[in-house]
Amino acid sequence: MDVAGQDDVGSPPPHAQLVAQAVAGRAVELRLTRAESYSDGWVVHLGDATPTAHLTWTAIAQASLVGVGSLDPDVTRRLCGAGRERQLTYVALELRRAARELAHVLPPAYLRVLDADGDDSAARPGSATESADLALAGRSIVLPPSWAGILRPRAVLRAGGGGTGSTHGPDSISRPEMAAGLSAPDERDDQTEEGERSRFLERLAGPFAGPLGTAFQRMLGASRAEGEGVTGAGVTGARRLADRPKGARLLTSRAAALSGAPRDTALGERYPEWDQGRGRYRRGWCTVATLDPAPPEHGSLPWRDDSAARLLARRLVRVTPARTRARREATGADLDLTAVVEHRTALAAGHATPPLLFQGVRSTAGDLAVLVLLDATESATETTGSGPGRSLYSAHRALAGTIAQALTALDVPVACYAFRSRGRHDVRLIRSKAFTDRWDSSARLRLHAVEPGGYTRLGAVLRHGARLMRFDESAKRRLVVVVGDGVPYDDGYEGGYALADSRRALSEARAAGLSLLGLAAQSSPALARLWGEDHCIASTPASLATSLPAAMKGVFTAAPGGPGEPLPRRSA
Amino acid sequence: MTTDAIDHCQSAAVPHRDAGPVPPQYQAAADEIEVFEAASRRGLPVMLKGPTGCGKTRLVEHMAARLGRRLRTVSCHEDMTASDLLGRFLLVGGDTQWVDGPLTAAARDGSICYLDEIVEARSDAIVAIHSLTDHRRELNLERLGGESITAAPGFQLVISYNPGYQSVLKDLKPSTRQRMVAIDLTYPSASVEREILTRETGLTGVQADSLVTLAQGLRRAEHADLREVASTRTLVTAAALLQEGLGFTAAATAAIASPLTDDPELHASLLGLIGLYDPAPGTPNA
Repeated sequence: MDVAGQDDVGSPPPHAQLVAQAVAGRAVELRLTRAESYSDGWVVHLGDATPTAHLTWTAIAQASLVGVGSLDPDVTRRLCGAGRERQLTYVALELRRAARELAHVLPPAYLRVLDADGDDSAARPGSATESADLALAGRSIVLPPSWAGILRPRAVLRAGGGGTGSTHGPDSISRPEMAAGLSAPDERDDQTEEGERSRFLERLAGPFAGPLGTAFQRMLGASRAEGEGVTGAGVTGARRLADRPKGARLLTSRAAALSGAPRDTALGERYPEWDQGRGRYRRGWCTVATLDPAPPEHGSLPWRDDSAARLLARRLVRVTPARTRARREATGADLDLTAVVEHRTALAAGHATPPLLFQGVRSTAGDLAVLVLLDATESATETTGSGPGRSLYSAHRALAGTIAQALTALDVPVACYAFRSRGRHDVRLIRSKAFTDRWDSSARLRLHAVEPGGYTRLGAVLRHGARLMRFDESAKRRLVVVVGDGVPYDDGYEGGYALADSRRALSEARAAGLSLLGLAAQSSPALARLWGEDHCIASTPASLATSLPAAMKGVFTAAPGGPGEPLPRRSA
Repeated sequence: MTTDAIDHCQSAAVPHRDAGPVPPQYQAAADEIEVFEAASRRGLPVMLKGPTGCGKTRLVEHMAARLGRRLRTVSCHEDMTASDLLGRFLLVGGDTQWVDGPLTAAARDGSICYLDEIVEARSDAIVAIHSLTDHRRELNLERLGGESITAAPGFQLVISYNPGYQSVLKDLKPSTRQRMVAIDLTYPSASVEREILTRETGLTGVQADSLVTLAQGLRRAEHADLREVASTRTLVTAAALLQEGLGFTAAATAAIASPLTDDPELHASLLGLIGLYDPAPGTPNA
């Protein structure tokens, strides 16, 4: 495959996932893989050696296997170790069966392409079991089209149930987080996911070579940003570690690599930082920029579960009552009978009163605006223990997304930004949804494009966030929700100094009329140190409905300029 | 203002379909007509559940014509109050005058009152129907000094409700639901849908087949953002456009993809999908 020219690592076209879902009858993700195409029942891995023009057919072919139950574990188990030829025969038979049984949903163009390949076999199995019987009997070998992909029985069994019927896959967040967009190649069918990943990462740690490496080079821009690795969660090439301060981890996000200015150029807004030791501000100390994440190579989002957002929105309605009854209006849909009676009585007594005789219902949704800030830094890559591979960051990200979705449903202006920093000159807010954006698949893609990395210069982030809140000064209540573990830490920003500056920034914001709330997936002393009582815990999006509304009410009723450091008479 | 208000009230009450020479066509998928008729004979209220564009309103119109009753349709919305259903006082000249709402009018003259998309209405409006929908079959108008109206024979309440589109704030309370006889409607099967297309627009052949396949596929996709994907109604619209000479992709885009979503990602995906199902890709519009 020519890597320098046009035919490089192709992405499936945007509609490929939609048609795959249509054919499979449930949510399926598409991912690129270095190996041959296959599916485990939840994810269709598309081999990057497949010509781009065929990728859609591959996706449909594998999805059709999902759709007719070819990947049912009980049947697939029988094909473990059966040998490639028998596995491929099974695939060929099942593809034909799927073409018959799903003819009412398969695109005619796909059926034509499949037919063009010819049907060598006279057999017409009526079920996956029959196909397996035929394949294992080994009397004849039938091959599927070259683009259709193969069968990986062990992958199917590992994924736990590729049969039809259930419409929700395992939580996509809990799947091992690979370098964005690419899944690990595996040469042997019985490798574990861990083994795959480390081999994959080994390959990348070395000099870039081969189509995969070039793909990464392309994704990262012309030159690799200094000191930045290309891997997933935190594992890096060995040679760079020596340069870093103790305990530091490399910035690993492709988003950070692509978006924003190079590190030595400070672009963005300047903010002061509070120096507790000296009792004054350091002016213009930090630079904060608002950036966009780089668009991912292909838009494959985890399955969306609306129920948590719906639940939260219902509860939030009581905190943000959307309607009030307005009486004695000049116009309205209903008569205010009391006002009419009084008006008539006054007229009869000889006084003329203004005819405010109607009542109506007014929407008060313009009462509230919310900014959600998501801590996207290294300290959040620990696991929560509530599920394999489920990091604290992914839990926090799910919380942020749920809040954005719930508030959007209530027509409350809401914005969502991830944040991280690497030193005071490079503090970043990464846009998922600005106030003017809609909460649509683009916003969700941007949110999911951000992987954790970097540090937490919380003070600067809060000050910049407060500036962003100026968007909607008409809102009576303006709330900033910071989703994170509450530990400020950065280059030259740690311990008591960092905590003091962060609390200072909180006070400034409160004095400006904002309400601020911390939110995390698990409790910790750091949260209490930073937020006092103004924080809440929600281990899953569903539990937001029970904890968040009450916490919001709590911060709204607190007086402005609440707990925190007292402000100097003159701000720097 | 006052004359406007009267007009507003009356327009809410009015749309009544007199049965023309041909009653509105409805293709039954299961036993919905029998169930409706049985409920009607007993004066029981009916709840039609189903996604938008699957034929709920068409079924009601068909049944109204079949049963020979007048039909009053109310399109519910979130600003709707109980007064919109029951009636209100208006200022006429110097006096207040009571004007019946559509529900009251239907109860008085024994017609069918159809509340379309009832979950859109606020709960205090919905509760207004409770006394009519149980054994009492009466309506209490507190504002009229507690006047009580017993529903005339022939009165029937029909509501429609879209269970898939669960709006955040709105849901039907169990106390409302259990008063109803529910009929579940869904999009028809491929063969029935094909017949509907032909009957409504005259479209046949491979284009009709492709439209139906496209719709069936889209519904299977269960995409979170494509809630009311490719309803029968949008299919019929696409078929009509095809009969007018538009190409498949153009017709499907205009009738199905573009109305469904403004999200650019999703729109691009839908366009690509339509291209896959186009029986004659690359054919320009006629």
